[in-house]
Amino acid sequence: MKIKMKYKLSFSEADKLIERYYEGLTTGVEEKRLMDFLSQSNLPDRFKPEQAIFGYFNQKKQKPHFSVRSYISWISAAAVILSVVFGLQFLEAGNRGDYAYIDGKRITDIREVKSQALASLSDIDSGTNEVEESFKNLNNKDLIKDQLNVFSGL
Amino acid sequence: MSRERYKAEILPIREKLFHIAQRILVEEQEAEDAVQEVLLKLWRMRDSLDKYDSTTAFATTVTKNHCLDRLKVKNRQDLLDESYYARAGNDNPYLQLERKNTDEVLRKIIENLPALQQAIIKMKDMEDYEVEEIAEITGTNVEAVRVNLSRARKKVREEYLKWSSV
Repeated sequence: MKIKMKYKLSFSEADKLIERYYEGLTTGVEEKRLMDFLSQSNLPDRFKPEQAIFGYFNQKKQKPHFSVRSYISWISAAAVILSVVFGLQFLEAGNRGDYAYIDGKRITDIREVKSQALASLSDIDSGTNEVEESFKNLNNKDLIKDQLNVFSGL
Repeated sequence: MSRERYKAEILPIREKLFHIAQRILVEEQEAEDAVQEVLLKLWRMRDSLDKYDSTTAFATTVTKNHCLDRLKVKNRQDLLDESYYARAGNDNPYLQLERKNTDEVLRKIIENLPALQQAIIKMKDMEDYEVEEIAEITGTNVEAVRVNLSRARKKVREEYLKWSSV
């Protein structure tokens, strides 16, 4: 049983719309209906040029340009994802805290921690790659903090 | 640059750009077309317009260059037209090959439309802009956009029939 019948243009309706199309009078919605009509097979020959032209345009169609509304919804979706990601990072960072105990003294200045770590790491006979990796992580944390500041400023 | 800023900063200098275009191209209709082309160009690059110190100065330069290019193309156009139609008349192998590919022919036909018509038909038929939006961006009335759109569409049909019936 057919629940819903898609309304199709009759030939004469299509003729009228095509005429309006060439006068530049059709709306996007009307052109979409024409496109649906023209994508049928076994149409009379008189529709051949429009089939070719609409077919060409349809295949060239890019994604619709961003309307302000869809732009905003994209931005908010991105913001939600970012805040979840950064939020998790922040929680993690909050648990650990940006400090280190060096010789029993708590040091919160990241640069000092860095230089101390560098000093102690240089004592350890480890691969340079490892050292570099750990510094990358330090920098990332800084970056995340900066970005969090930007976000909380929103 | 947002749509609002484009409207607030670019559209007010339309008159100024028109005068520049008219000084170079002389003919009023041509200057009008050129200005609309420039405005569509600026619209497309609105995201990078902010990096220029003065959008007015930048728009002025774009207009000048665009009009000078238009002059050059115009001077060449007559020669091009002749060879284009000479080819269409003779059923040479090159033409036969081309005809096999409808898309290629249509692409060529659209490329050969006057620049403004080309920009408008692409925006309307490929990028889903409505006529009202194009009028807003080019600072013209809806009717003017319709006329150009209609000319472009009719020309595409006419040229397509020419090619497909050879």
